[in-house]
Amino acid sequence: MTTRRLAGAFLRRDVRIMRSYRAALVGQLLGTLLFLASFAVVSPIISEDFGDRYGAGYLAFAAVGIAVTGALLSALQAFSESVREAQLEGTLEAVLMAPVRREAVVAAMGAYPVLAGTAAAGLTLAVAAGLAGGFDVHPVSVLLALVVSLAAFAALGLLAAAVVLVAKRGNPVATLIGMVGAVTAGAYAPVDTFPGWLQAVADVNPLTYALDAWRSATLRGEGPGAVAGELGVLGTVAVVVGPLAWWVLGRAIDVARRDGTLVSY
Amino acid sequence: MLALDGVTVSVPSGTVCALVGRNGSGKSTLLRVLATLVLPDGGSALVEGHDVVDDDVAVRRCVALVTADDRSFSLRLTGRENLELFAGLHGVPGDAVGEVLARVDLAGAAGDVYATYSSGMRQRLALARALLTQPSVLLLDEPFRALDEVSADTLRSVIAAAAEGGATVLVATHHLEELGGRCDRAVRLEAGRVVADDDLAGWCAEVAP
Repeated sequence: MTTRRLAGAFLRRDVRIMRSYRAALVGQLLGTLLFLASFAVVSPIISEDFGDRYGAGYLAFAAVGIAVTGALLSALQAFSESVREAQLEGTLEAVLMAPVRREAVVAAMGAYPVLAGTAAAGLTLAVAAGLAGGFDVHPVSVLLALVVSLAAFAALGLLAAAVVLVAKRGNPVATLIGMVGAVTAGAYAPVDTFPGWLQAVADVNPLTYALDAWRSATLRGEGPGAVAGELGVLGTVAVVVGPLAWWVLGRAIDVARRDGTLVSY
Repeated sequence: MLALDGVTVSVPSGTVCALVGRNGSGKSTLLRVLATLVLPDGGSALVEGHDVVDDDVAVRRCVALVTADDRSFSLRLTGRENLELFAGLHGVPGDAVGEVLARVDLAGAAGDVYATYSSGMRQRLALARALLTQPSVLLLDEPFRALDEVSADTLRSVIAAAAEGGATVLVATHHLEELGGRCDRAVRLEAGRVVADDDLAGWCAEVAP
């Protein structure tokens, strides 16, 4: 109840602020769609048996990669970027005066970026489905993939927020995972086409499992049983990292309070 | 160097207590410890019986802090929208926003974007935010800094009303006169230590308007 109230308050604020940046919002959406269009241009030169091997044409394959990577990296960066913005703007201390656990305030601050990233992903998939077709969606699997993958990446995102509170710098953890994560997870090309050492990197990248689950659920219409393995890995990340991140975040807030540097940047 | 060193102060309900002292004497740090924004290395501090370290959520339910820093609001939102955020965070009904804006004479500028506010208006908006939760402990850190005489009078009235309503008011200030006689006690800090603790009842009776 409290978390929903906090999230609602931040959501209203952030929607209002984003409405004052309409051009930036439109530019962001256009950027994603142009990125998608560039894959539409190259998709005809991809070998014809791609669909047979991976269950969908290349454009649909890449669209899921772009959409899911965008949504999950938004969740990964949501909390750290919200904390960073609040540090720079000077509002962090004021919002942390709310009479609730401060970890809950930081978690609620990420509500808008997580929802906006998810909405942008939905739009990307809808446009790709309209352009290329080839989607075979299993709604229950999609719902499970959405909830479990967002939970896993939000948990990692809370850890990134803890780093920002102490380091007073951007989010190095999230940036690193974002930069190498999308490519090594197979967002734009199938992992089995990678050299062996890169496939080994993909194996320890949670985004790989999220993309596999999402592609099974949206391109091949596979039910929950078929994605259970990938969702199991992501669920384990959420269950293990979530409470750990909550604890680390609390300690990071205490370190900043002890140093008197909550608003330093 | 210790920001606060062996400070022992007890301020009863319904009291206005001034914290005075030079820059860096520990006034702001003391207020921030009481507001749970700074974690003390040792000692203990209780607000309405709640420990600021072990029971910080309960402390924040009864405390409100106003600082002289005007960077605590979103520049792109209006005054009203900014307060609606804090009303939401504190679980205060939205209609309280209009009431507190009127109390600090900002009703007419409620729909203006915060970036266009003057320093005095920003200070009054910070005061309005503090009043939103009807705190039983009001912490004011140099609240008169950017205020003109009319706004300063409004603030004095707010302080007096809060104390008459049973709230504890701590005001960090360099100039006791700013309180216009609405001050029961003054605690002087030097290098983080209490060096004087004076009952001001007699002095206030002399300077009160």
